[in-house]
Amino acid sequence: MEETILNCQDSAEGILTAVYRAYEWKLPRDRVSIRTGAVDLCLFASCRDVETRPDLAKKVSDTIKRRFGRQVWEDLSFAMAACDERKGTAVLRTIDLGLSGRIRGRLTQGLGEEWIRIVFELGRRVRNEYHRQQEFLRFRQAQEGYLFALTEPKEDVTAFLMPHFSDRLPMENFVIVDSLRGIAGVHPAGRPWVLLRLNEEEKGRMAGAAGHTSQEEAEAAELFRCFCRTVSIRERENPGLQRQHLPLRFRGTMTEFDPPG
Amino acid sequence: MEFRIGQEMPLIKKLEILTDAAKYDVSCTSSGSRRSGDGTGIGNTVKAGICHSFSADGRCISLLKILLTNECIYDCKYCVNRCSNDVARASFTPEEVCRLTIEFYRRNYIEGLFLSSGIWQDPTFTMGMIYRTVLKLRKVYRFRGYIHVKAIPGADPEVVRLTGFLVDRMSVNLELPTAEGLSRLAPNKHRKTILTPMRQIQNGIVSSREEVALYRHAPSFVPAGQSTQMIIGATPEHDYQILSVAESLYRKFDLKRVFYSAFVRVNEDRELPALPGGPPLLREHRLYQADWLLRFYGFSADELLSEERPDFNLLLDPKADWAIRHLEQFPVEVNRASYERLLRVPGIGVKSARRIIQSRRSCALDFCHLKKMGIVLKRAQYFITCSGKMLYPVRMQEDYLARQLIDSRERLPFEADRVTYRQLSLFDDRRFVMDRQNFVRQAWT
Ligand code: SF4
Repeated sequence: MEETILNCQDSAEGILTAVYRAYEWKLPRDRVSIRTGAVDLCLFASCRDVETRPDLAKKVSDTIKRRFGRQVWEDLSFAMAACDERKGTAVLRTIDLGLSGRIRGRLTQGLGEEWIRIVFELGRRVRNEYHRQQEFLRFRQAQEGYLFALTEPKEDVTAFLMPHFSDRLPMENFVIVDSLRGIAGVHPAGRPWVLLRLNEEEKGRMAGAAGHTSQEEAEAAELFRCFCRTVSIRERENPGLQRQHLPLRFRGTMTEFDPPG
Repeated sequence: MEFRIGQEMPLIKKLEILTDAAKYDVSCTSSGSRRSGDGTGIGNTVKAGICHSFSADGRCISLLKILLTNECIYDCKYCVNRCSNDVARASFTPEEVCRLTIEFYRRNYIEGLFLSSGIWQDPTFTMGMIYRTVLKLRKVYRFRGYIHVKAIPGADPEVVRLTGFLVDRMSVNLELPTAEGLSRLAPNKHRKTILTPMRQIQNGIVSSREEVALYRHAPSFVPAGQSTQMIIGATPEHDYQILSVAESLYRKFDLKRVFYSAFVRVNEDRELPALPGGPPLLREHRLYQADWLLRFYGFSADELLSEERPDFNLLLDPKADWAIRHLEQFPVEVNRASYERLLRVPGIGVKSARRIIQSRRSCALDFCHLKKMGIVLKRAQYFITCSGKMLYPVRMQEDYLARQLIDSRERLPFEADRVTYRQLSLFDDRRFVMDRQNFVRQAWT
């Protein structure tokens, strides 16, 4: 039988809707792929667009949690945030393997199976990026008093960062901007956070925010730079080791690496 | 925010002096506590801790590590702040420490505060100032992030107790591995005054755990446990002595972490070794690796070293070194071996051992699976079989394996020694190890 490609939005909801449809439409799972990016001409396969339906996605996520537990749900959520073409298909096949009952123990650790290994690998990549952003993300204070962070994460991790920072800074107004994907997590003080897709004008405004920081911001930044400089032990200096732990790609947005002046 | 609070000295200058004075304390972890935000204050803690930056020496910056003051009435020979040194002195007010912590924290520069201090007037007064500072930070600023403070030996136990209910971690530095070393280099300090607060904190932690089990809202005492630090290479102890001290601290005092700090010669003093090669970083690194083996891999100090062989082989990590001296225990069959045995294989860590146990339930594992799971086959291949087969036929012979495992590209936390690694053949290695250890000791005598 012919291959089917389900073409969906690049988000967890999009992928889970496609998973739902694969079952609903009774497509043979080993011949279905889920694509989240632009699909090139499908010559040897039939292509179907899947429109995102939050209610259907929720049904699938509920099933995953119920059948395989919270841990597996978390693993799959991380995998779905990866910047990787294989993720949709890998999630579908992993769920299918789980429902078949062939995997003993925690589903996402059945690493003997190729598709589960992919889910595992993608999840690991996203988790790493999430941890890195928890470490290296820097807030700056805008003139208006709110905090903003400009980030360029390799994977789509803003939705994971928001609960982390909302718990720590409940009384702050803050925004985390993913400049690469044009996504912003917005947290108004004392209220729940939301995720927004930025339009062109908003993107420009957020990028410009860096130029409008407060005097206090300059002072705090100067103090921190002084701290970082001083805390290093001269006899142990080792730029290679520093780079190994803190790759150059993060430094562009980190206060302590701002060019002087 | 007002950073200058009517002081004679600008805050940034104070910060510079009091960071510089605190930097030789190596501990900077923010791990061991899990506390979520309360919805109105500021901060939380995560179990594994978070590093936020890395300084030019490659060490992690997780906490705002400062002294409250670098005034000190003591005269420890190895310390920049000793009273006989003529250095710029400064002191923070509790308010200044709080503002710095909060402003750094909300920008995600740090996980919290690590506050230590020189001995200001007397130990109890100093501990009292530390207490007042963290009390303000917790109660006035509602800070729920990580706090690590030093317990000052000789301070009134009541102040130590009160402080313990406000902080995540406390540490008392052992400073030097033996009492003799201590009396030589830190004449004002005594083993007993150091061990007394350590015991007090240990007991406090135990009884607080019991109370929390009974009453959920009982305040918890030092929830992230206590740690300590030893200076390595300032006195002539062998690795075996140092590791045995660490082991008994873990066992008898229930310490969370022991830190090793390669001695940096900051003072001119004839009691201090010269160390022309710089701080003994490779030795420090091996001690950390061995410490890891004690805590997570079920090794004991006696398995790794002995009176006859009291120092680590600087060219091999302690686990590989142990393995090639115990070839009778290998190879290990990956599809059947217990977790404990897997852990002893070079190239298999805690995570990969767990993954192996999990995955082999659904199918027999081969080398390809292992590789994808993140097992370092380059090291593990000599010690394992998959369904009875080795990856390549190898000679199970000590010298041969040692040569394979000496890794010229080993990721060491410093660069200086790498050249030596590549240049040496195994037979020279042993001499090199000897030389190096003798050298350290000679330098000292
Ligand atoms: S007590 Fe000793 S180690 Fe501590 S600050 Fe004073 S001189 Fe330095």
